[in-house]
Amino acid sequence: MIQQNYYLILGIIMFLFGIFGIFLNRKNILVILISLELLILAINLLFITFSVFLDDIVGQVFCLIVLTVAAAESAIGLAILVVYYRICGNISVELINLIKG
Amino acid sequence: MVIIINISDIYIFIPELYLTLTVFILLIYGIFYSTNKYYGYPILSKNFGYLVVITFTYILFLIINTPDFLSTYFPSFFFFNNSLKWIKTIFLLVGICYVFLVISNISLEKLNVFEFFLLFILSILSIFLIISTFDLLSIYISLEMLNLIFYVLATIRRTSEFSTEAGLKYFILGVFSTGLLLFGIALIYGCIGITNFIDLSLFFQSIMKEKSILEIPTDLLLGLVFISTAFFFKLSAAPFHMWSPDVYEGTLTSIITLFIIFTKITIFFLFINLFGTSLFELFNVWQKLTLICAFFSLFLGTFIAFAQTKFKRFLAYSSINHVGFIMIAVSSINYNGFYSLIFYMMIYILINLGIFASLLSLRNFRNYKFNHQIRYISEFTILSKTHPIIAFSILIILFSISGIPPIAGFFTKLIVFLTCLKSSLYSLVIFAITISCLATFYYIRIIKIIYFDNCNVWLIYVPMDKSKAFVLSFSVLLLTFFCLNPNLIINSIYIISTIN
Repeated sequence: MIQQNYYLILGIIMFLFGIFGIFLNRKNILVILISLELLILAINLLFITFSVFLDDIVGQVFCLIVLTVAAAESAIGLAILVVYYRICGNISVELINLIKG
Repeated sequence: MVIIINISDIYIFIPELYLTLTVFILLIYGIFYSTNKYYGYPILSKNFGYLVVITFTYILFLIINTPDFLSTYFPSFFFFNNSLKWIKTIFLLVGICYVFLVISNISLEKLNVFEFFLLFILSILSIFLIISTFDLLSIYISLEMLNLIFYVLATIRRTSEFSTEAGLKYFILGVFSTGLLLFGIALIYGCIGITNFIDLSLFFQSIMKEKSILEIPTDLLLGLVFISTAFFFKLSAAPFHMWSPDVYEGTLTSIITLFIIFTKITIFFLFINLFGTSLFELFNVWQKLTLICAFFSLFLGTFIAFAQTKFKRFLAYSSINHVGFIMIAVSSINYNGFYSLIFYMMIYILINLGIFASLLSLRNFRNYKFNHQIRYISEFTILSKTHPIIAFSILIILFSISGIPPIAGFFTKLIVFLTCLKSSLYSLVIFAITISCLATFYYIRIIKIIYFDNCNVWLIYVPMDKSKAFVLSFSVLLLTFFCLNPNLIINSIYIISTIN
């Protein structure tokens, strides 16, 4: 059980890194996309750990599906980023303020 | 996990299969014709719109003719019952109305890509999957399918700075909320090793007989909180609403119509499916969360809307206010809660169809080439002289949103408050009534701008076309004459929400 806790703590720390990477990042949108990817991979690690220690296959199936969907998601995200870069000419977080109330 | 697919499963799944096949065939057709030099690279957008209407009509027949029974299919990933059948029918009818709304705006907004309607069919397919999910895994897949489609739709105007920025914001916060949802699912799975709704509900029923809520492991409750937070993000309920006004302002109006009408309702159905059936025993926890969100979304949705000058932002805050009311209906967890929720949603769909039909037809006409969508509320001045019918229908719809008695919006709020009183949430009802009184101020302010303000330069509008007028009159007439025989609609919705 101690081993399981190590894996879980690693997963949760990765998840928190992902969240902080999104909110504390002031420079680059690409870094935000990387942290989003990190978020989902951390959850995958959690799923794998749970599935191994519960001795249940569903977690691994879940993890595979999450991986494929996350790949599609990051493809769409990068496409949106490329389109944005073509128009605005930069990918700085500080400059996404065209729309605001 | 053994996957066995019966013939009867496929029999239930026929409408969705038909939708999928249609998407493939339409994709081949679109790519073949739009890149063909012999036909002169035709723009297929309008053609696709009418094809979508035909497809939806066929699926309407397929869905109405499915037999009435309760079952789960694809080893209990999805479920089917009789009320779901009628809800799907309603979605298809609204989808046809939506096509009629946007089909003329496509040439005005120069949205000359046929993929738009393909993505619309796919989003209806994913909505069907979402409202029939019966497993935590299938929640993730179907929600993600809807989200991926919507990220693309938000940025469909590639050359506009506003649209791409809105798409980027929508993407980042959407993926973040999906991450929260997945984290919650992972915690629940890791704690009890179950993902199916029936198994979850059986587990919680048995555990709540023996233990009190304090003895339930904290990871389980944390997972519940994460999942509900993700849902509130997707619904743009108040503490998590910051993306929605920006996205609504930046994206094209015809696509915002899709977002506002379809997403909130589907996600509320999913919320009811998940929290009302499988996690029902933990209602002490999630009722508090929904109450907090209802409070904040009523409060912020009203008071921030005062300060808005742009009409789409105003609509975003107005929809946050609506979410607050629906959240009240959800949090009063008796059986009438579900029924009042469906009733509120039907009227919400009607109101939004009407308000977007009038907004989409208000395009300022400069000359033959340039016309643009109205953005600011102040541009509505003298609308009562230049466009009297639209002005009058906006008046009816805004009265309906604010809840002036003979119009349908009043009855929705009444039923929500009555169900809320039944589960003795008195202070929340008093607060909601006060807030809705205050909210009438800013709806009536728009009516004042339309009818009583004067300006020197009168705007000229592009004339309204037949299909949008059809949708607008449908919505306004139904909202107005609802009071003549309210029992008809109320009873039919009651029947839909009670049959299982």
